[in-house]
Amino acid sequence: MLLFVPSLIHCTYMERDVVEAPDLHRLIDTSHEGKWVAISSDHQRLIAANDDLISLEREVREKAAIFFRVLPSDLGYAPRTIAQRSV
Amino acid sequence: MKFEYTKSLTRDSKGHFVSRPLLELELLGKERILTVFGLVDSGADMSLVNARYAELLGIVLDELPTKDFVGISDSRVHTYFAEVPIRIKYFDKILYLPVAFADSPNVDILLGQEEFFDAYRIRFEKDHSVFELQASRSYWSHEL
Repeated sequence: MLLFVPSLIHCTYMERDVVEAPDLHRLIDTSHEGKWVAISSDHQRLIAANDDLISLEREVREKAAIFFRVLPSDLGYAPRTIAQRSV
Repeated sequence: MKFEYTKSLTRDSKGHFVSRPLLELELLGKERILTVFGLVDSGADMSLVNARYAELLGIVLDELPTKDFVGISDSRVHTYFAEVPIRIKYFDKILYLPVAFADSPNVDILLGQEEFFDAYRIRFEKDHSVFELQASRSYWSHEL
């Protein structure tokens, strides 16, 4: 019986402490690529999309909205080791 | 605290959606607080933020020191350096993060090595589709 205790604790820990990711596929698609979008703080609604972030921010009334840019889906993202060149 | 990887719109070589370690955070500006997503990027030397956010935060880019960054394509990206206070969702403390504001359509927000990876212990568990973030005791004890 004692053998089950650690796994029960682990399950409880996992359920309580893992933050669920937003389901962006419900909210945006390829038509939003290259645009700025605002979604609700509970990740359930797309509030608005715009080519310009400043215009979008003026349009959105919800203070807790989440803003982000939808990057092109046909481009892979390569984390870069960045070389800096002083100007 | 553990976070699920977020599925992006991009597909990998097998046709599956690429999952990325995204965090919800606040950019604390003089004029307003903006809630955004940041990609945790262990391959970036420092944090990069799209320059369009600067205007909303009340940061005047022309007054800031500049540097050019070179990515894998060798094309140069002009950036402006500033320190931006941020707060990660579910974490109380404010981190004063050095960022390079980049005027590039292919950058949203990247959370890179400098300061961010000092302030938080980050463990990627891609095989379980989660990553873990823990405030670094040594970093924050210096901050007190």
